[in-house]
Amino acid sequence: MSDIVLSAGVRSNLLQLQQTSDLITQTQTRLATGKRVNSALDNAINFFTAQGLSTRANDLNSLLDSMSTGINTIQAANNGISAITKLVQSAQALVSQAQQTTDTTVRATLSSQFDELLTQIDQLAGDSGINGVNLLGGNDLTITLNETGQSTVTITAVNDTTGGDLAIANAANNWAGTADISTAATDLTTALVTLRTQSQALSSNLQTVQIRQDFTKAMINTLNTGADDLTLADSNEEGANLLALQTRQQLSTTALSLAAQADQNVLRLFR
Amino acid sequence: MGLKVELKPGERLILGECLVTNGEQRTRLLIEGQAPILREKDIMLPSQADTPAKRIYLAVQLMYTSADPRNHHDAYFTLLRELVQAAPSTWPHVSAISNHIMAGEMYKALKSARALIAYEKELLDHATGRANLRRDRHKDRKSA
Repeated sequence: MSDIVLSAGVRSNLLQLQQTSDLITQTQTRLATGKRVNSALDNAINFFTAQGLSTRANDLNSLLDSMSTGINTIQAANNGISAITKLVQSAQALVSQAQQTTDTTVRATLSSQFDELLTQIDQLAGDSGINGVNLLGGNDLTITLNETGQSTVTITAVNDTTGGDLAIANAANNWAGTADISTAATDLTTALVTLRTQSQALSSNLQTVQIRQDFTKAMINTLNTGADDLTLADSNEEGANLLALQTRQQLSTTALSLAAQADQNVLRLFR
Repeated sequence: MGLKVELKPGERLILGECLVTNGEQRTRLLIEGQAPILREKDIMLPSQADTPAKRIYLAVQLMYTSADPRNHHDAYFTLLRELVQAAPSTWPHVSAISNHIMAGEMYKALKSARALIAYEKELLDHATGRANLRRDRHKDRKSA
């Protein structure tokens, strides 16, 4: 078996670690002698902060519920936009078919199919809500992101009906004239651009809320696991604990991954 | 509206995904929009983050300057838990930082993290100061 080779850095860390544990022992001895500084009794605020952790986790949980509902509403609207986009694309196919024929009977059939698609679009736009909030039907959505309610995200609703923001007119004159068909073609192109812009705005809002949701979830976990084992110490003991932690973290994966992440960040330019 | 920033000659600034370096003259900038902005004096490099609180500052800073801060949530909460367990009295500071992050006020979160670093220094000075005192007392006894 080969020997384990320790680098100078690791060696000095280990040495520091040993010294730190000596320091903790000394601190504990001093505690045992009754020479306490800043005891829990001196600092009632800290005591009650620790007591309030579980309560805090509950508050955050209800916040999380509202975020989840908000996310579902945004996703419903986003799905609605995708479905509407497909219908608009089908309508475009009808238009190009009509442009390839001069037979007015065929054009008339295609134009009535076109009008049916428009009706379906309006129905979809009306059905894209959850819990009575439809972002495609004019209901704004406000999501609260912190307990005090000071931080909110408001997602402004759109009106994705053919008579509303999409502005697609019904087929005119059964598409007898070429101009009637090109009007429809222009309407559809504009509507697709509108839909894409709306979808981008929704996605960006969705990401904002999802990031906050992720943070809040992790926060709740921390509060739940942290609440029980928080024992109040005096500032000497805390200082010694911090020294030990400082050394321990030098060897930790968290510290290493932080450095690695910084290398992939804009921070890498800052040398 | 917007943020007014005054840069000294050669001073640097992170603006979104870019590093901006000022030329030879003092410059006044007016910045509008949503990109993260960090002044040179507020930037913590990984090599400087050598205490638990400074590492938390670094994690918050990474969240601020990243397109997707979720990658840094794990590191942040691991560090937070370790710190609070070692020194529960840091909780009010840590809680303030987290509240700002939840509200999306990343610049304020960094400010609170700076306050945490100052508080941590107090605690660390306390511990090392006492150790030095003891060492000196030992010397005193010898000389006496």
